[in-house]
Amino acid sequence: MKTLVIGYGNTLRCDDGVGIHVAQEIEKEGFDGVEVRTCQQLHMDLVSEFGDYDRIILADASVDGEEVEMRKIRPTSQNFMASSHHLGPELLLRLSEITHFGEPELYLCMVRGRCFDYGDQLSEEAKGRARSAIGQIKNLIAEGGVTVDARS
Amino acid sequence: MAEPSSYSKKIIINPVTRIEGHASITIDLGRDGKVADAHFHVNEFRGFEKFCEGRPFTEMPSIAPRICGICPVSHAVASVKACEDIMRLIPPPAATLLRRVMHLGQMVSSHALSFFHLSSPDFLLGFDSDPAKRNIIGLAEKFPDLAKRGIRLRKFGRECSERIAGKNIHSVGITPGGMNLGLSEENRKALLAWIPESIETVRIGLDIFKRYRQKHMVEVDSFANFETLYLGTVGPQGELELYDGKLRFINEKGEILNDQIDPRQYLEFIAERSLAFSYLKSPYYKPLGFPKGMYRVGPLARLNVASSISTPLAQKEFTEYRQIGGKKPLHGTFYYHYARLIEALYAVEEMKNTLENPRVTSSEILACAKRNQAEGIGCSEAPRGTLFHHYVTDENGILTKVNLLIATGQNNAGMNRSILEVAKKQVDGPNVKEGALNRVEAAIRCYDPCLSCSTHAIGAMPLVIEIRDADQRTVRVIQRAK
Repeated sequence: MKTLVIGYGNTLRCDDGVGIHVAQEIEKEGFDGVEVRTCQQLHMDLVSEFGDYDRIILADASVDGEEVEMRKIRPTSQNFMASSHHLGPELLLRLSEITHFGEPELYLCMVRGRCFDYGDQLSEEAKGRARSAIGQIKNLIAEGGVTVDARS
Repeated sequence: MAEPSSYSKKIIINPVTRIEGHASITIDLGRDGKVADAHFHVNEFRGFEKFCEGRPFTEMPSIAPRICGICPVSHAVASVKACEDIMRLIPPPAATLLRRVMHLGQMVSSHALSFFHLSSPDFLLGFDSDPAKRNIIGLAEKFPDLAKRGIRLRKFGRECSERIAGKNIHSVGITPGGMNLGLSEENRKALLAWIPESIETVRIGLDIFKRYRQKHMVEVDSFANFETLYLGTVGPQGELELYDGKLRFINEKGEILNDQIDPRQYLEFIAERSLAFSYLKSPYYKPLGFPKGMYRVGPLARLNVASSISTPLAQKEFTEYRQIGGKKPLHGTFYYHYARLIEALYAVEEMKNTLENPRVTSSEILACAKRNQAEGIGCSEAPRGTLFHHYVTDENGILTKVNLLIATGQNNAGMNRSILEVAKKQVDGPNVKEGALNRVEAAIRCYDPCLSCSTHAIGAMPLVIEIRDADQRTVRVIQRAK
């Protein structure tokens, strides 16, 4: 199963960069069949690559909710926000579906942050939650038939 | 004193949708219920000019692209040019070729976003269609292939930066003296492979515009049609030149006022004026003063000032475009879309030419120098118009003054006039239909304004329309969900 992990956020706003940190840690593992991408925001160009993967896992920071939350995304065009700078995961999947780019399984892994101030360091809380998120993503990858490296 | 009539109103459009930035429109109604005035308010403030003071000038090509995620290459180019002016340095030819490819790619990407994603819903779904569907998703549901093409065209433009500088946004590839990274043969071929599809997509866009114009000739021609001056950069023969041209001003009749002006002289021709109702300044053509010196920039202006286009397919379209106005410039604001597509065609053709230049993969891409003078000015055409970066440094190369003259700011007076013109035709009393207000918004959308750039903006995008009565009381506010 070909998988893409996309970590996104702002690494200059402390824990807002936790999604990028998670993606980079997954990249270090060097799984076969797993590619990793980082970006500041989700944007519509990404859908042009949706057809290249069976599964896409998004990693992002959250300001509230569970410490780490993994959920499968369903396509929808509800609550459409007209911004050319950012599209939400549900909308991206919907756009990919109706433009026939592809319909991969899409997951969103949200990692709750504590500090979103200026700075390029993660808080200790975010670092711990990131470790948990990385574990969950690795389990998801393993479920897809990809061998999880023993280093983990 | 007469009592305010029941028609004395103020209309607020907030947020203005499908633009790059956060703004609102106020429409003032007179006591007769007719539109008396209209204003475009930009509510964002960023302050780049001020907080860059105290930084080494060599940091500016890394800081300046952060102003905007749509046109970072233009900011990087204008910034390195200003730095190279301070260093009295000419970059190697191969570095200029690479910058040109990135710059053309950004033009394609931005124009694709503007036409296929932000404006096409009006063209193809209708100005009066359901506003909940009048967006990229609604468009994609009805015209999936077109939406797909638009997404791919935008991706191609962004890929130019990615394949040269490693990132499609805010890359550090462009640096004073040249480029930090070169173009591999593999990446050159990959970019060239995009050209046929990209040309086809732009031509489909042109066909959409022409068919729309054919069907709605009166509305297109009269939409915010008013005379102004125009500014754009041109090459030595007056041809369209986006990367490294000289300034040309024309008047409303199309007569050249100033030509082949070195951008370093911009302060002799352009002055700025602050407006009470907006963070956006309003530059004007200095010799004529304000407001007589109101000028416009961007695709419409560039095609109005240019004598020709150097690539064959775009030149053919340009000839057709110029026939509409005869010998005069096209003043109708709706023609920004047409001009934008012709520019996109030029950009794709010119990119092919540049990528086929054997020097483009050269590794000789970086020259070095130190600070050799205190002041530097850089200029390039951004997707929305002419962009200037002006830096002043102390003896240690620390910035003591930064002036950024941004395209959207230069169109500020034009945008205000455009919404007034459209509001006068579309708005009659406070109970105005949504489709009419969408047309007022569309007047702004023609300019594809980037408010993040022009105010140097914090926060998210959208815009508001406010209707005020003759006593300045707000009587209606139209604000779509953010």
